[in-house]
Amino acid sequence: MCELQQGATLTFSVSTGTWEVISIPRFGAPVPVIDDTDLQDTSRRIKCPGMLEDPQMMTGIIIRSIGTQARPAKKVLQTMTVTSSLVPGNATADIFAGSGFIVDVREPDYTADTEGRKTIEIDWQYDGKTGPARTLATV
Amino acid sequence: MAGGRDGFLNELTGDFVKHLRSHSPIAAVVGGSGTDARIFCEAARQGVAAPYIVYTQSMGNSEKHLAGLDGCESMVVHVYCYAENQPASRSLANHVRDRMLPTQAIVADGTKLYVCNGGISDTGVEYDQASGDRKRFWTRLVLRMVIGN
Repeated sequence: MCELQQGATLTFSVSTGTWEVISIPRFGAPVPVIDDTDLQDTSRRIKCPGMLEDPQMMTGIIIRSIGTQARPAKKVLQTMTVTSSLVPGNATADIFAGSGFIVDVREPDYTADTEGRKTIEIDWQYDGKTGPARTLATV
Repeated sequence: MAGGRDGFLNELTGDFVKHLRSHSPIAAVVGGSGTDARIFCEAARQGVAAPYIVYTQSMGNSEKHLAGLDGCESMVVHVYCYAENQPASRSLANHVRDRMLPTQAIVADGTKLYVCNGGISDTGVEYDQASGDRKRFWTRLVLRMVIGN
């Protein structure tokens, strides 16, 4: 079985629209690494995990620019949902969703002598209040 | 077949050839702005006199976003401009370039030509099939286009 990137969708709960998404960057929420070295340790520094994940900003969600479509709003608290493509034979796809807000919307760049499509870039921050969490796919 | 996107490259009624024929500097060289103009798809008519144009699609692509197609297609069209000498061949190629590259419009019967880029790629010569001692020079344009409905 293989699971592909193509076919995923991205929605905002407030900034609704049919977004033609080109790419979604990775999301990470690392826990802190706490130094737990004391005077008795002689070989190496000792580390232990912090308890709180720290949701990192997703920088550069790339979406097609559509002239008749409003940009998604910054600062509005809403839910972003990324739904993977449905694997053939599965009942549902896996979903990743959580509350947060759009930090920035960068307007298109323009270059002569190319057939490149106009795109905008969105920076998203999960606020950590609701999720983000995965809902697993079902077979 | 009618014009429009599906028939864009049709030799007689396609929007591409109509767009070329309706440009007076090209029409003046290839024998008019009607269907008798010497502009051909894939191969020239047997025995045709130079100057004339032959075009062919060399590649294409349908660009996608994560959830589907964007409704447009990219294509690369090679346009061979034949004439009995090199300067005349190049001049015809420049007429084609001048017609196509500024285009960002609905052309002819309704094909949306979003953009056309490219230019003269290379040149060459062929011997006339009917008269082996005569040369026909060609200049090839490679045009990159994005079209849609």
